[in-house]
Amino acid sequence: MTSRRRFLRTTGYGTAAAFVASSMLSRLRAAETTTAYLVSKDPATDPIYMSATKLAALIRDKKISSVEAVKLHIARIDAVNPKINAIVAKCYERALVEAADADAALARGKLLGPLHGVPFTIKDSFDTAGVLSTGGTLGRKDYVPGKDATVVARSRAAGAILLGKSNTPEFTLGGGGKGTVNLVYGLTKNPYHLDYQPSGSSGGAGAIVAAGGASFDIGSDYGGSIRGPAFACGIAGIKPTYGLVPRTGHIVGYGGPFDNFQETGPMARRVEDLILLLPLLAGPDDSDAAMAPVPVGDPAKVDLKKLRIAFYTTNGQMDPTPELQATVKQCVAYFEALGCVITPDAPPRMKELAELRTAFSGANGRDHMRRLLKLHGTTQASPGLNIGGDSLPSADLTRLCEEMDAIKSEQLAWFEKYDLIICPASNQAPIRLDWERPENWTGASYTSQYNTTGWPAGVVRVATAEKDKLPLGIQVVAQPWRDDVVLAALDYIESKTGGWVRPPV
Amino acid sequence: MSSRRSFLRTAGYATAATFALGRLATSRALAQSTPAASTDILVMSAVQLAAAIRAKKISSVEAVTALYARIDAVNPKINAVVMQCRERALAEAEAADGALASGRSLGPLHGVPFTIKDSLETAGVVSTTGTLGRKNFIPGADATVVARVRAAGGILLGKTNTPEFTLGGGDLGTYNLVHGQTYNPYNLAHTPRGSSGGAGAIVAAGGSPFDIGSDFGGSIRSPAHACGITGIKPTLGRVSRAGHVPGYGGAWDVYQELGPLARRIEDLALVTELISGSDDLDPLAADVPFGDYRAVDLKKLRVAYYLDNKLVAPTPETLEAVRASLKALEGSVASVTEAFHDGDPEWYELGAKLLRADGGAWRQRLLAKHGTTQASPGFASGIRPETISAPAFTELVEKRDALRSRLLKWFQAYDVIICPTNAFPAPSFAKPVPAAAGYTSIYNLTGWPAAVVRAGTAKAEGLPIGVQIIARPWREDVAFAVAAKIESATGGYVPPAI
Repeated sequence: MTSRRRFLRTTGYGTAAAFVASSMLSRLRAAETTTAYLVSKDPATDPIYMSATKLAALIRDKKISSVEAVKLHIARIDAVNPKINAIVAKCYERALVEAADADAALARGKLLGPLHGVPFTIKDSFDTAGVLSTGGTLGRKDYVPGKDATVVARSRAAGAILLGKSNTPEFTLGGGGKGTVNLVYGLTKNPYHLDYQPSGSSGGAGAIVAAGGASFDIGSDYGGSIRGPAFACGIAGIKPTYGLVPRTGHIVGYGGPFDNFQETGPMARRVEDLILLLPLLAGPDDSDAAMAPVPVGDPAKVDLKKLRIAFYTTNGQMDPTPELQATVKQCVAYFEALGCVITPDAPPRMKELAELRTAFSGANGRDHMRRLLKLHGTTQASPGLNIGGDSLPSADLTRLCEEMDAIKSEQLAWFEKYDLIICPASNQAPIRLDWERPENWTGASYTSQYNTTGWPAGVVRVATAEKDKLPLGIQVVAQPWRDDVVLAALDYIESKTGGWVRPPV
Repeated sequence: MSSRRSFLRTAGYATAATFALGRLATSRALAQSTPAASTDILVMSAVQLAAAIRAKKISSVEAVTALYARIDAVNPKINAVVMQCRERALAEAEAADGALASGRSLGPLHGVPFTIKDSLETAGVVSTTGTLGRKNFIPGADATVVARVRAAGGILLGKTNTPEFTLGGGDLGTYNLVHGQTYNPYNLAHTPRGSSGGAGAIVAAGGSPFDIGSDFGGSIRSPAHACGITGIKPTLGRVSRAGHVPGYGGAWDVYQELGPLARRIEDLALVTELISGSDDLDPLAADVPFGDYRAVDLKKLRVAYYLDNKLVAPTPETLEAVRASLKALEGSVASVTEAFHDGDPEWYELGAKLLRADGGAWRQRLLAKHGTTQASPGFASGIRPETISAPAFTELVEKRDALRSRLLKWFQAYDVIICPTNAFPAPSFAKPVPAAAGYTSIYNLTGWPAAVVRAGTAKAEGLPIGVQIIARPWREDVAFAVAAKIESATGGYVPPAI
């Protein structure tokens, strides 16, 4: 039984197949010719802080062994985790065995893939074969899956070595304004300041990657769960186009009426790692029916000065702080310097779309959440998990769906005028652990707008908050399937701002 | 303002763009036709006709004139074409001939006439979608698929009949209160099925080389089967639905696809590729590379087939057609295995329950939006007081999607499925067939590409029988390759006596 991706590669699909296969698997294939690897631009020299791209090159060049790299990362996790509680399950023994195997393979001249020997962690909402995967829910406190989620399997097939799982709220949805917390493992803290949230729901991933405990992690993003933590933890992350990366093996998986809000994507300290990882994770698998084999373009081929750019400093729902509005203008200036055509503009009717999404998500009285609890045998739900409410008549459910889709289409038509949107990722700097979410708070609308549309959106650090020196990130968004444009823009912005900065922890 | 397709071409997406756009100029698009070339304009394929026009053996004006003459001859009997745009078509044909004389080609369909299902909007030509509220509605813009065909040189002759909103046909196949009943050109006592029944009937009768239909549950495939022609429902997301009424979006968005109906598989391949790809309106349309069906290696294909979907058993002659198709493939493919995914009857029940879940509120909104106060009985029958609750509704959606995923997993073991298109040939007006007789809607659930080609005959009634060929998502090329093999073995389309 072969996967569809593999089928495209191996059967008579002529030009198209050759094209699809070559673009989707180009990174993987690069393993066969050393010259084709992405060249790291990262100046870091410490293995726990350098990019995955650079670490992979050092391992390939035998300047560091995979066992050494794994041991250094384990030591780092053990040093910081008591403070930040980012890693909640560990598989160190297996990781060391795999690292030794990777080193032995390399000694024989065999490369497993572009991530050969590189340690990584995985958000606990993804299934990991043989490693506890709770999804932050008590019913799965002791659950050990038999099979890796698709993104985990693809990372490991490319040679990466799993160190453990990173914390997430219950079902990735139960943070309740506290960022990343659940009843199984408790609260995760921001490595830049322990009184602050790492945001959520990929808060464990954001915190441990920022702190140097993992080369990269893979998060899920239903309303901002990759981008929020990337913003708050000063790293880079991308929510790819809906349909690009399979959700198979994620605790809130594919399917159901809210299917098209959910995406999965990489988080790393350096944008070059997102560029390395995304094509490795992309493409249909044998289970997620919403996937399309659209080739991921090469960000290096994007001509930045030709980008038509729209920007906004507020979405009209909740104004960002002045320092966050300033980050938008700061990034706009980088593109002005290239001679890009830049227009202050925003997708039409964002507020209405956000309100429709909220109404649609609650239309069934959140019965889907109660089904999730039941499915996983959880009797005590997190206080932050929204599981109740009145349901609407079915006639309203179908109407809300129609109205949402109509605005989505209107926004898509609007987007034909531009190639890139530069906008805030949040209305406020990272927030304190004791923050109480105000009634009618809509700060998440800066990110959730692009889950509703399905457009690719990424975040990278661009500045430092005046108060307590926390990181501030920017969000860039491209047309559907132009993840290459998002990555190229993030890469350019990072080259101007320096991106990730080592945390004090 | 550039479309996303053209952006791909101009903004550093080199390889992909070359592939996606280069296609219009490839030798494939201009390829010689494979079936024995007919010299009869009314029978030849669109690919043949395009080649004859390019070679100046036939002028576009001659083609348009001949097809209108044919429409005039058959339409009083079958009522397939419900609106015509003769003056414009002739002017466009003259312009096309003039362009060719001065050495300019408008595209791979240069000067080739076609018709369009009336549920698709056509600029300047009345587009009713069979509902009274749009009886006189003239759109200002072409639907994306219409615009693409015309940009490739196609010349619109007129509109073909469809039930109200493509959904109100019921036992009558293709009927509405605006334009009435369409009849099957092989036997006027029978329906052409629906909802692209006007398209199926006029293409079969030789009044148009191809048409573009929509398929929400079988609306391209059932008429292709009933009228003995070819048709494909492409992969969900392959073709933009912008300009179709009802449009994209809403709770049933993932069932709807648009695709061509034609007499020959080579035409399906040409037209599907031409109309594919994203636009700036339909969020689901994606730019996935399109394979060349002539490059598919049949020897690598694992074929599954089933004779019965456990809902309605097919007629013996339908089974014969499936067996004839399998025989055509024998020895040419890697394996042929009898295997059924068991998607039905679960899907049939679940899908129907979902469509009724809101009591037909979505149907009422459609009527209100288009200003229709009197709905056709077939469409109105979906409006009932009973509803199910929103929690039960979303649970059904979860079950539906779990089934979709299970079926995708099942399909990993095969490359192609062969099965009946319908359990029966086109039903007579006097004796309707059960609503569950279609073997089609399961593939609207999965979103997989599904083509139909004629492979047999119901002898007593003189009606065609088409088989259904399903390939994995985005592999229209595989469906075409297998359908072309069956077509060459069985002969495929046979002109009706009408």
